[in-house]
Amino acid sequence: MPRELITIQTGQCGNQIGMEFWGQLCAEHGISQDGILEDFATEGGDRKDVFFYQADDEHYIPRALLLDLEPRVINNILASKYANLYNPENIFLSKDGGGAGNIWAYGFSQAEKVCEDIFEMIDREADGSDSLEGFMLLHSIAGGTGSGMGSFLLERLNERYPKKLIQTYSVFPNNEEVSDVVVQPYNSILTLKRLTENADCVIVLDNAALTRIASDRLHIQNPTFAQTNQLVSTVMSASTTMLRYPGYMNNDLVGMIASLIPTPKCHYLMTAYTPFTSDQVEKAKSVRKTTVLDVMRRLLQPKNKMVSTNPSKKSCYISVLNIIQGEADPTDVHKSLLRIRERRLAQFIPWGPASIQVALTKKSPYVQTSHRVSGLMLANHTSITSLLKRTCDHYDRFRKRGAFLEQYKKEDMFADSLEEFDIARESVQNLMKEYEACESPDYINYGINKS
Amino acid sequence: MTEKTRTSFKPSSSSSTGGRSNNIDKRISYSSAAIKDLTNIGSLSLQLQEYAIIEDLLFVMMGIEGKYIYVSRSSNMSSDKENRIKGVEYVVDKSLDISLKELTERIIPLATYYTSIDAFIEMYSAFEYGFVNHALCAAIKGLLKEYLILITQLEHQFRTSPSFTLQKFWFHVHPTLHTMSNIHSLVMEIHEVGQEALESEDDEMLILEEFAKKSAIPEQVKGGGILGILAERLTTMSGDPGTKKLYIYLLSKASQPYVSMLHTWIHHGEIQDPYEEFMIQERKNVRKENLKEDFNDSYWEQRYTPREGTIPPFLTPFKNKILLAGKYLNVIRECGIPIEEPKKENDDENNEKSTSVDKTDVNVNSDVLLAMDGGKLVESIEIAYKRANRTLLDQLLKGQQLLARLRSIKRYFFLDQSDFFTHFLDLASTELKKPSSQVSLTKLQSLLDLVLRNPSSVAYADPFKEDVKVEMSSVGLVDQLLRIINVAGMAEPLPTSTFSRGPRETFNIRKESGRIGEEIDGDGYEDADRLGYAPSLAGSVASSLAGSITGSSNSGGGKQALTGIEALSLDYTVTFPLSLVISRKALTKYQLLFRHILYLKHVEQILCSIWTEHFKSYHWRESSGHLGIEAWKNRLYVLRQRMLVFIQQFAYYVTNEVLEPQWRTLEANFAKVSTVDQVLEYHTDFLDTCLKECMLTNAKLLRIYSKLVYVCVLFANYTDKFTKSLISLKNQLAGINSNTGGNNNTSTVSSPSLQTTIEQQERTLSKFEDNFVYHVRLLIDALNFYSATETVQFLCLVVRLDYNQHYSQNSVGSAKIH
Repeated sequence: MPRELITIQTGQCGNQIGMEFWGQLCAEHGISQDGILEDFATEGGDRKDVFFYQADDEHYIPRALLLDLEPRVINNILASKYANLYNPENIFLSKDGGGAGNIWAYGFSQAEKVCEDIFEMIDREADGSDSLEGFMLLHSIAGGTGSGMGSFLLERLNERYPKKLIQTYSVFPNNEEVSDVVVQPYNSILTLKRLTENADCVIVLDNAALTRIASDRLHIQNPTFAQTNQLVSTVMSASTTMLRYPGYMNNDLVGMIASLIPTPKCHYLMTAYTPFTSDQVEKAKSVRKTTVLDVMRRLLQPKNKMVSTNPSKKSCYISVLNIIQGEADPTDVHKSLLRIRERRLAQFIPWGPASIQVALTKKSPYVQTSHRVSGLMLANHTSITSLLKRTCDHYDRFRKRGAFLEQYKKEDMFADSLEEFDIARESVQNLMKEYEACESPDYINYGINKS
Repeated sequence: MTEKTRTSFKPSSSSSTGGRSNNIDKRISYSSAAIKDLTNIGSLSLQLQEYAIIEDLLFVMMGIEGKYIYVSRSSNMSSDKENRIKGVEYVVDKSLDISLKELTERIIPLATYYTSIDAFIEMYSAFEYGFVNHALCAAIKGLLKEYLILITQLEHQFRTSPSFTLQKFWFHVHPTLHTMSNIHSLVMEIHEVGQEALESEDDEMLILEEFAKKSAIPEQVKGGGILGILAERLTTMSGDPGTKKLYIYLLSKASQPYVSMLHTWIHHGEIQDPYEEFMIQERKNVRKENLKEDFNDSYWEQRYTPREGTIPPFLTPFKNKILLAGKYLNVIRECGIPIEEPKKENDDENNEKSTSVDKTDVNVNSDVLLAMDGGKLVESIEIAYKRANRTLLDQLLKGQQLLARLRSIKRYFFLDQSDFFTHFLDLASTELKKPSSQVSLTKLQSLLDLVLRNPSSVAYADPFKEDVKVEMSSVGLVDQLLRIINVAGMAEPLPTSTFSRGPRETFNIRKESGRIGEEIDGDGYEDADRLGYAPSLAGSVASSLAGSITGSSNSGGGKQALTGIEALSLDYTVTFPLSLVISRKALTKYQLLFRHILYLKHVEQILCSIWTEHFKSYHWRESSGHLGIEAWKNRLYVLRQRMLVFIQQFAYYVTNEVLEPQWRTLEANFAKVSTVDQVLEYHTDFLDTCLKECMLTNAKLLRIYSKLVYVCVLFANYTDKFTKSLISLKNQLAGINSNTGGNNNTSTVSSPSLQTTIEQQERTLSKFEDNFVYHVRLLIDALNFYSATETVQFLCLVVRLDYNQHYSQNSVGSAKIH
């Protein structure tokens, strides 16, 4: 069937959230750990072929590529209960297995070296689909492999598949904490440039916010990676429900993101999800009441957002898409929309029509949940600049000191000059400028005003 | 009671015994005297006069003219049936002794009655008067036989008993006279009703005279009519026990064939009614096969109809139940399902319920109903109705899986799980771009089949997927709708040019009439023969955009044939009896909704493809470095975004705020329906509400909407030109840059010629912007206005279209860009 998506997961973080994601998808579609359809999962009204294909023996195989430069995480996956799910041909491990050492430049150049092998896999997967719609890249922007190799793939994918959409789920580092990856501001800036220029849609997952949600909402003081990754996989599976459970509208990725992202550059989407309960994350406290209004109101609350931002007074939504899962009454949506407008719970752009789109989707019949309705918000909000700004500030501080640059200079790209850093920094700066311009009624004439 | 009626004709036995020889003597002497003097009875002795007149009476009472009792001049014994039925009047010889004469004249009406009734029987026993008349005549004939027996007995007594006087004669005949007069007046009433009916029908008959001659029996004096007359007389004269008994007897006899007809109808759904007497009329030419083809077919409404005029009044309370019971059974029979005989146990079970339910009705007509079918009639109607209703409802909902069918129709026509359809549109895109006349239906059908049979599609699990067929419509959706509104609203003949073929002209949507008419007049409706999605409207938009947009693929404004996508429609094979619910009319409504949704999807898709173009193609993605060009690009993006938001919000409204809630209501209603007619009603309501709330029934809204959509399509089609312009702008810019030394950073540098090109492009874009924004505002205003009169649901759409009140707040200002 049409409109397939190929998932590319790179690096430690990408593969970890990928593993959770596929686990979640399997559970929702009634696919066993070995890829065999469970007996009970015959009439779910679902569409598995966007993310899976069937092997000769009827096994469902994820359209996923597992790429890493060090074997630890992938070996973990291969030792896990989902070991037999993936196509072994789709797993790429660097031969030397040394990893990228958290250096973007190393990951980038390593990827360049093994480019042939990787694209052989991608081409094979692409050929195996009827009408490929695009790629989903799962990675973090802070580490070495996810950011470096991810950046490289973003550039090349655009060249190789110029008409295919590229959506990324990018995990942003927690800037407030001391990280074990000291060079993460460098990695982030370099990756952000590629995300801005080569991706079509970036779903921002902020580690800081994930930790905050885990501790505030779920009362877990020091959440483990597995726990935050469960949050991510919940968001990912929710954001793809419309593709997997066809409804009246938005049965393809482009229809979903086209109205969310009006202009090419402003394509950073933030997410919010409610309610998180023990079904997805262990030990989560239960939420009492879930009506459509309730869910939609919660989604607009900053504390449920998966991005930590500092919205200014002018910050506004460019677009909002709420995906409501479960037994929602369509007539409730109208009431909720009115209520939200009355209470001015959301500020919208002044230069064009904008509204909260609400898509009602089915919930997987195979996953039992205690709440009636759950919701995911995908929003294009100008306050994303504050996150970008934090990254930039961080970077600027490092860059001024010229700290930790030796590792980068080892690679060809930075051997002669560090210009690439400056270009990347400017690119991010332009992005922030454009987002700020979105807050003004004159955005339509953006460009003229810049002069 | 029949026994009692009979006995009343018999003379009391006590008087018939004794003195036989005496009477014989008198008779002999009388006859000899009679021979002597034939003419003048007054001259005879009183005793002889009495004998003679008794003798005469015995003849006259059988309708034979006597010696001293003559047929009156006024009622000549003619062969004219009409006169005969009035009966023969007799006069007694004037010279008869006055006391005898008085008595005789009292008895004589019997003779008149007899002749009248006899004539009636003769006439109404003719085959064309129908079963009920036959039965009635037979019953009356039985009574006449009693009457004749009475005469013979009287004669016997007269011959044998010496004490048999005229007084005794009168004594014996007296009760019979009462009965006979009742029958006579009944006969006369029936006859008069018949005459009146004939006269009133005369005018119509003139035309059909040749055909009419044979079957000119008015329905008022047949079947139900007769029973009605009987029942009415029974109730009006029930004070007199004798009369009541008589009518009960007659009614019970006469109604027998009717009741048996009723039974075959309510228990078998068949009508055996060669003389057209029954209260239900069957039109054999209304056939179920038409349901699938003929748009206006009304099998359900017209195949069986009650003959309103002739339903016996006592059956009127049960009219609908009788009609429906048979109708339901008939449908079941047409499905080829054997109809079981009603079971006895079942009857007993239901007896209590049914009688308690209809007690009020029963009381009113208890006598009448008791006369018919021994009083079991009401119960059996009730039982039959319940059984038929239950059987057919079960058959529809369970046997034929009506709900599953509708669900499958919903999937294909409302695209509630539209994954298969996106794929279909992908596969068929090249085919659908062609003009509809060149589109290969077989190819589309095979593509659709391919998509539906794909095991990974959600539709794969649908057992009815074989029934979906691709179809090409000959008329654009908006034009078709406008035409429908036009017809429904103005009830005026259509412009005949292209519409004469349209089978859907009389499609009926509830509409207020006047206002729409005016609106249609005001707009260029005469353009309608130019086909297209909204061809009649395309002209105005195209011309307003024409200045700068020439040569764009779709803006020519000329005679544009429908493209495949505009003509694409689906059809669905429905079998009897489901076609009762999903009739051609219902299917057409589904098709209208489908095409509406389809076009929304199509426009959404092409706008998304522009999005992809803007995002993925090199020219759009790469910055030109020139601020003017970038600003122009940005405006283009923003306009595309507005259009996309509009289309998506509209589609959300249609699907999530109209179709889905309405569907849920329908499902909920179906869960509690108790009759088949309710099913039909709910389903029709469902479709009508959907059409109305999707604003497909309002000409004004439809017009604005289609203009908006047209602007979007035009914009989409113009993208190639925009891209070309962009490339040429970039080339110009590159030229300038190379001339001025190739410094890309000096982005403010621009030549006059580049500036004019940019301005020209901006003007083109402004036209699109203005047009679009103008029409969105218009639509929002109109929706606000019509939400008061049509449906408040429109307000939901307003909220969606203008959620951040962008259009309503910036009424003139910033949306227009210069």
